[in-house]
Amino acid sequence: MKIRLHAYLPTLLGVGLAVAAGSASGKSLTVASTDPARNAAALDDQRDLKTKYRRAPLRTAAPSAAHVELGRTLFFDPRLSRASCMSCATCHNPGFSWGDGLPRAVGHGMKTLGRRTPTVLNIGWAEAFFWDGRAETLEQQALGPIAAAGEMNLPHGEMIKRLENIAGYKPLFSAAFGDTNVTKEKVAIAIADFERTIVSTDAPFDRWLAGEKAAIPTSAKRGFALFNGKADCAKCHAGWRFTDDSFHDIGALGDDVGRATLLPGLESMDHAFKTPTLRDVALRAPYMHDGSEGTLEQVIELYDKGGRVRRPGLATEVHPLQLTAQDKRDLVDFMLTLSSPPKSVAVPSLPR
Amino acid sequence: MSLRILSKLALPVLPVLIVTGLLLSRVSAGEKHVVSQKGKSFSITELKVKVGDTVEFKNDDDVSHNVFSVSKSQPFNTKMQTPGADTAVTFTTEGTVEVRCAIHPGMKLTVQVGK
Repeated sequence: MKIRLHAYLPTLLGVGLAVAAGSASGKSLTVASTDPARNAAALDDQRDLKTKYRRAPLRTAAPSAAHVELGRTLFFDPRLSRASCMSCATCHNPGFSWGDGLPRAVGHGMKTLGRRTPTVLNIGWAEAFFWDGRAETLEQQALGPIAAAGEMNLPHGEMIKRLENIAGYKPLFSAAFGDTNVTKEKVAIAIADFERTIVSTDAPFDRWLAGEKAAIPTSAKRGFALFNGKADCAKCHAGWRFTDDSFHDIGALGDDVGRATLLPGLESMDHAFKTPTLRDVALRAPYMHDGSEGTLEQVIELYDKGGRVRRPGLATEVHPLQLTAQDKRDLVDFMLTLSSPPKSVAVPSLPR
Repeated sequence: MSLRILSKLALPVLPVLIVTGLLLSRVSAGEKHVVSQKGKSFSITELKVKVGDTVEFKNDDDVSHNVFSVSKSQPFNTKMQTPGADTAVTFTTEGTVEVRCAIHPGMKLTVQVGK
């Protein structure tokens, strides 16, 4: 009997390892052992999943320093708004993780707009822009809010005239583009290139990916397994930015039809909005396209119910999850590990 | 008697039946192409087909897709395709058709429809 057990031991070990590997790469991670050390090892492994979250390189060329410097100056300059009191940074405030901390943005004339300010953090990697994806490039996006009547309300022609009359901009345009001519295309390129430098720094989650086991708590490791398994979050909050830029009706409250305005007739786009990044997400409450969910706990409740509203175009990935109270806490604990350490941001002196 | 009635009824619609039959045979005679959707990508980014060819859009992914045309010359919409679903689209007009997934903006396919 003893001999037989020895003979089967390698096979049994092999099966055990295969089951562990399968659970890490599949729908959910099951930690059935009563041995805490073994459970901890399984939670720290999850190697197949971890490879999906490694930082990707920019798809565009690295922005030039001169473009970035001009773009930074324009981004913080309130003269890009009709009332000269609102810059890009007014809503995309670095102190609020490049958002504004409000449920819905406030635009020209202090009027509240329909949607929440999306962060520009890691926006250089995005494949579509605005909540409804109406811009296909970062350059298109950068020009939009400047001229939008409800936002900065400065038509591009007037923007060019204003910038031409500010002598201090001439050397910045010259350094960036070789001449002092101001065009809206140059403004767009410079702002977009500055935005490409707005990148989250390493969070505890990244240190854990790199092998530092104590970088995140055990509850967050369980949360990571749930995020990729039972809770189905990673179907859309995929990759190192924790978004695939996809558009879905997730059953959030509100009358805003989202991307359906752009793509009428497609039921799946009715009430569909872009999947936001979860990098630094704990710093950006309230949530959703209109701030209708105040906390991360409330967001988890929405998904656990399979949406607060069930419309015909509801995403098939949104369905009741039957999460336990512990599951919900673990998911929140995981999302907290995506917060980068505070980073100081250089605010430029504005040219006169 | 019943045969005579049938022939009387059938005679006026005979040309319509023949034309429909010809059209159907033309469509069914077209080549079939398969475009897979996997990893939130189309299996190819450019496809050349002929008028009358059919393209089967197959969802081999673990998420839903919604393939549609942004070109007015050949509008179509597969609607939401859950994993495993496939939808056949016959290309009837010569020209360039830009195909997208409404859900995943990185999924882009250009179909060149020739004679």
